[in-house]
Amino acid sequence: MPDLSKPSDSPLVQSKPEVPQDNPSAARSNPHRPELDDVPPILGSWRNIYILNMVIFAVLVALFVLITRIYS
Amino acid sequence: MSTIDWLVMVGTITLIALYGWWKTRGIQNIEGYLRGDNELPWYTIGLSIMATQASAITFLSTPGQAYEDGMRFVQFYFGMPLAMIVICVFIVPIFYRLRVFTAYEYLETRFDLKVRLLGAFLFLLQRGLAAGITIYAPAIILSSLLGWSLYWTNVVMGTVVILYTVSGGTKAVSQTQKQQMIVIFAGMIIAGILVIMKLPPHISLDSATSIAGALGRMNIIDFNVNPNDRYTFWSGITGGFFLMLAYFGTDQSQVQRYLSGRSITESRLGLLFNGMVKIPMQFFILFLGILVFVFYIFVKPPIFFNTPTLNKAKQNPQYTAQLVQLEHAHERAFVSRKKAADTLVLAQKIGDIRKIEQAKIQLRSAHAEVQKIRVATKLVIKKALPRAETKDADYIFITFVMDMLPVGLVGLLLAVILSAAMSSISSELNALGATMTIDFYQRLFKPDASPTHMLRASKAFTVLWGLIALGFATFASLLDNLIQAVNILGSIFYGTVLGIFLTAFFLRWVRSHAVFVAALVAQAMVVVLFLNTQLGYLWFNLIGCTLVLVLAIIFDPVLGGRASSQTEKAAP
Repeated sequence: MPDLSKPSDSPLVQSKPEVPQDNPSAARSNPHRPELDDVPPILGSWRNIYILNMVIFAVLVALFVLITRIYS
Repeated sequence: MSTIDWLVMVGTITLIALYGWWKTRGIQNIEGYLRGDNELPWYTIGLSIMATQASAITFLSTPGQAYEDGMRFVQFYFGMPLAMIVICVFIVPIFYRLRVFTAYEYLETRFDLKVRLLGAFLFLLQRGLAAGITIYAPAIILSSLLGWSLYWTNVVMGTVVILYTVSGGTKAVSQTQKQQMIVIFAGMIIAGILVIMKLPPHISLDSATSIAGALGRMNIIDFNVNPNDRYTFWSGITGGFFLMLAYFGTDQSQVQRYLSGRSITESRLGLLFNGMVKIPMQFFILFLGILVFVFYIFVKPPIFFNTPTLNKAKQNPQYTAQLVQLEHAHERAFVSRKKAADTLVLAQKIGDIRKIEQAKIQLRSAHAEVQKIRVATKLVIKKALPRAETKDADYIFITFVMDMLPVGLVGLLLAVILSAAMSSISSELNALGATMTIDFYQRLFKPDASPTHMLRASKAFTVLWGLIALGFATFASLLDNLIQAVNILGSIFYGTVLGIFLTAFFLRWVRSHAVFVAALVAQAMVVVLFLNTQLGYLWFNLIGCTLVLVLAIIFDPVLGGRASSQTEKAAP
């Protein structure tokens, strides 16, 4: 039975720390780990995309409140 | 069912399956099988995430839920947009940087093996059972339509899905889900247009909505703070948020979908796309149920929507006369209700407020009479057939499809339901197989196994979980409304799993023994609460999660355990 208090040493589940973890810009441009790219494609920043997401939600809720008030 | 319907249904399903097989032929490695070689763009991820969540249950139960209970179920999804953002900010980058196959691998990096195994075990337990219900749902339709035994329908359906899932792997699952979602969207839009066209000429969409509103079906938003109410704005925004956070952030059937993305960007966009589209989609499906409800105010509905069960009950001579009598009473009540609805529409056209209010009172009274007769019928059926399921909400939409839609579209709508079933089951079996392989088999018994061996093991475990789910599907008929059964099951376990993950992310000083014991105690307390209280099930997510966080803080100074590893500390 394996030791339950030790982390995995399996080659299949090991982390690959070739990216400098404390430097996000390095992650964006790292040629060895292209999947770590996190550049927002629109609106300039992820923050703006998240705000858009919440604005759409707020509009939907307002619409639902309106429909409920009109028809109930 | 006509030959054309059979051709449309079988043709659609076969083409999608063949497309998935053709697009993913030649996958020979575990990376491709479990993580899709990290090739998928955001729209495939987004559709795949939606397809995984939207099972056949969604299309069978949701319109029935609206028919019986109104639109308020949409509030269940209100926690989703915020949950998607939290997952994009905190969870996706960690999973990508650690390059995990399963979400539970992270728990070992942060805590230790026993916490990882606990998280993986809770996932296997609840998702394995939920997969059973996911197989059972479309089996009801087929058994009901074709008069087959439910048992054999379950077996045949389950076997087909198991074979399809095992051959494809995660890439095939995502590729087929993209096509399945296109069929689902098209089918539901066509169904929506047809229901509107089937309404009587003098009933506009506005009139139909007014009638539904007068009968309490347009209750989309409810700000009631009573915790015993299942679906309110507050339970959706809090309990729903925790449920969605747990489901999308820690459930391997979803984590595996977005971990197959080309990059963090693609995964984030896929998740956010889901967050934006899901609420309108659920609104539309529920509204379809509302339109069916209004349609059956003007066209006589069956007294009980599970017609084969009703006919079986009539065959019991002791209750035949009683049921026939109830059918006559139902006919009279239907005519009164229809007349009251017509009066309301007329009063609204004239614009006389006093008459509108009077007509609404009449309509409510007539509808209450119809409901009373339906309840009485269910009681008689229960007496005639003590083992029969008397909740018929899941049969409402499919009855409408079978009785009212033209040839060809019946086949398309059945293809929609089967597509939804296949997409969910395949994701679930794929994830169950992956978790069993990576978190248990490979981690505990075969740490040095070759990728080829792991691929074979993964396929074998997918088959095993398919068989377990199939076994559970046999007993699913004993459960209440299907979609609620799945969500209740999820809520009992998800709070605890989410609590473990949130402790890992945000309570960086808490160590492994403390969180492990806290999770066990919290899970036991949630089960006790579920068995002994009437609390709305969405609250169990919040309770389970909060209990883990609080207990882990309390236990930490006493129990301790292993602290975060260096690798994990580097994560954001």
